[in-house]
Amino acid sequence: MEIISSPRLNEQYYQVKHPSGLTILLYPMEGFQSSYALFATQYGSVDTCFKTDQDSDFVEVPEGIAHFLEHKLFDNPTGPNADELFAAQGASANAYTSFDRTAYLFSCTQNFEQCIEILLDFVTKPYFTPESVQKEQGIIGQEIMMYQDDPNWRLFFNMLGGMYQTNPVRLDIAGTVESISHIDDQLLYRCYHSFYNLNNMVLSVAGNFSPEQVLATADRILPTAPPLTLQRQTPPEPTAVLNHLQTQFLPVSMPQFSLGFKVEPAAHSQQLQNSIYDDLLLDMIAGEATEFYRRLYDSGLINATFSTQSDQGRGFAFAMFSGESRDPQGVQEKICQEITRLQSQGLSQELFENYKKAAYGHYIGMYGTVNGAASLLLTTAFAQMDGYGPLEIIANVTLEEITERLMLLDTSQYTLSIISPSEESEYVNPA
Amino acid sequence: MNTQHKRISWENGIALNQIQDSKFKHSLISIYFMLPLQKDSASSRAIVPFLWRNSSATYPNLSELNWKLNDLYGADLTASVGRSNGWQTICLSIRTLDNRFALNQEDLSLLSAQLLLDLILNPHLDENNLFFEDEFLLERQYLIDTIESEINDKRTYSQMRCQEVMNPNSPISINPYGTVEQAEKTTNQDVVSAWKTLLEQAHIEVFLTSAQSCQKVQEYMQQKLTSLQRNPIPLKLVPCQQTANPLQEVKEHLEVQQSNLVMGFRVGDLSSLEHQDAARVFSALYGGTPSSKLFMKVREEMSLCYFCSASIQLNNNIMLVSSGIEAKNKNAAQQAILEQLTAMQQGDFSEDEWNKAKGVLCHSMTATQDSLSYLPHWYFSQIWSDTPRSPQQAVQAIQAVTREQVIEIAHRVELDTIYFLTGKENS
Repeated sequence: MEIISSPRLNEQYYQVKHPSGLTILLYPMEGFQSSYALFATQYGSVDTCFKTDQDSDFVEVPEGIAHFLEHKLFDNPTGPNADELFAAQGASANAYTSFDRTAYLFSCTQNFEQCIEILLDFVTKPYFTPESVQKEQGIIGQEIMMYQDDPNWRLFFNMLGGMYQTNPVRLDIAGTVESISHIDDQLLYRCYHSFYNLNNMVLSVAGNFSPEQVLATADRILPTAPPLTLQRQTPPEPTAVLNHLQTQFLPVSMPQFSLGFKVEPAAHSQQLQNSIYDDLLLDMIAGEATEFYRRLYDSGLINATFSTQSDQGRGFAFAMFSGESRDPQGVQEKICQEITRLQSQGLSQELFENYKKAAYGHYIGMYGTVNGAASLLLTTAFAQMDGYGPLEIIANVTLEEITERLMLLDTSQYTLSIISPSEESEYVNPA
Repeated sequence: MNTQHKRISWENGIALNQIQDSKFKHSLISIYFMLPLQKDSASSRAIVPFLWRNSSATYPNLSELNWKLNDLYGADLTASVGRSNGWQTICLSIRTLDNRFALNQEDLSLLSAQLLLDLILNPHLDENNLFFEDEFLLERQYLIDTIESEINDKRTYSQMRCQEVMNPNSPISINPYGTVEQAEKTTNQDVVSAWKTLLEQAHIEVFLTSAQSCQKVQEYMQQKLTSLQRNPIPLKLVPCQQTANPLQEVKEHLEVQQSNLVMGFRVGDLSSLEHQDAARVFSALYGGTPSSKLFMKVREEMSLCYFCSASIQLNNNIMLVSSGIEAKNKNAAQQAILEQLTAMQQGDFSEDEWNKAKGVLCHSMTATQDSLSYLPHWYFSQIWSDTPRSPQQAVQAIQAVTREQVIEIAHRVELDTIYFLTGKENS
């Protein structure tokens, strides 16, 4: 067991490479009532083409299968499903699928040992049948329709759909009603056995719990995983965006926009650091302390919903500005002009120090909740980084490093996604 | 138990809630101004916190103010407008890093309290003691946009509409932001008057949540707030209808793919703590958890929907059951929802279901103590009670609720309104 400490926080966590192949991260947090555990695999919606040494060639799978698999793992043909088992312990359970991972989690304030056993057990014991797959298609079909009505979801995925030509990040995480109709139990097993290899997974636990209980349960439950021979294939992605403009009409009250800049993707080991730097960079371009933000806000071009976000993954990276505006294209022009200006004139040292101080405070806060700490440890483990790495990166970042990221932004490679009020919509004003 | 809470009445309708727990890495100071919710004043009051959030006489524009917030290690300022039992709640809060992490021993708690009160008491006014017209116009427009954007989240929007239909003349269903028409008519002078009314007449609840006792902060805030000239309106619960009207059905159309069905019920008189505790358990059993009757039947067994859940408003005597469904399944979903209510009335819930519902409720209440933001919300909800309780005391009360008490609550539940939001093709 390795102990990893942070003098800044005066805290530590434990890291174990379990004999099963699983990486286990244990973060006891004094004074907390609850504990939070995440059991995750590096398998997400972008993993649509892969092989192992059991396969003669790469296989392509339908969109949305990682998410479908997440739903199906909760099933148990011989008794109560995982949700019911957690509920019987008074715990709250959930799961999520993102671009690059699927995670199963619980939060509890009692019966921790029982809960960790349930978690390790149900995720490592898949069971799928044609009947259960068909039933889930109905439920996920409803989920997909719910997201189709969600302006924020459509705004984001329309942006990605316009930015990326081939990379699977452009696909809806849940797939489509049509794509999930091609999923069957055999395909689910194939994906499961390829990606849910314990060498490809991490268990991260934070809060009020006993590390010894976790390790004893892992010893009892987890089988030894075979060596990981997984290979993923991502289609080559051109530098250029597919479309500069994506528009959709939905019954919203005013236009919403997401302006994404396509950034050169980095190697896996660099992605998390790049993302941290890019978040700081975006604050320096258009954060609320900048004169630029103030000009946009005072002119009514943006409002308090304006935000920035960056993300990086296999073969993709982007920086994004979003919000509501009556003139999204006006906002896009102004942001491109501002980026060009900064690339020419440079970033302010004073502004950099100001935002660096703010980021330092925010990152300390991420270790302040059980779910925040467990999630950050999981993210850093997948990025092959120490759990306190993000805090140290922020504490030591230089203006030169942020300037390097600024110079990578290409203002000709953007996609502007707009959701506008439907021309025919009758907005019912609750007077 | 680490968490300590004390509520101290300062003079003149102001109370301090001090919540201390050494595990927190940030502190949170929230100041709530509460006034009876009224249709004709809601919008002018709702604009005030958004003006507070942007500037003060000391920090006269957004960039200067945010520069200061960054300098406080990324302090977060939040303005909010809400409704609590027919009262409008106007809140400004600041979340700051705990003093022990300050790199230069700054007293971040005191600095953030000073900033918060500067924004509230010392706004950025022009030579005529009005807000600067361009700032006022921007925030008025933002309020209008906020009201209009309530339609974006169909689930929340549908619940709001159902409640409006159920209680058309009650403050418990007045939109705390007011209406678009009202906001458009609001003048700069109206907002200045609203600001003064908040300081003079609102009941004020201060929440100070931190790892340390922050004695200097308490003294500072007490001195500043109690020196105001005030004539506060005493807090009082709004009487709420207890029994159902003849059933009414409302159907509305938007361009949606998934329909939203909201069934509104009346739950009788829930003024006693025993009834409220039983109602919480009833709601959890019926439709409040993934092992509840509604989730297991309407979603899991019948595959009719992605969500189907129940929520009870204890001080308003209302329960809403909301579900996302295909339009063709409306009648089937309605019938299934009512059948499960009948099952509850007949005591048709197993020991396993019973234990799960209580377990999830107790877990949620206990976990509240780990959250810097949920903990003050918890104690805020307790200000209406004659016998406020900590989350742990509430857990003990939930554990003592009996099956008979829950069945009694089930028998009080009466259907009042059905609200259905569906696509235009279904008109």
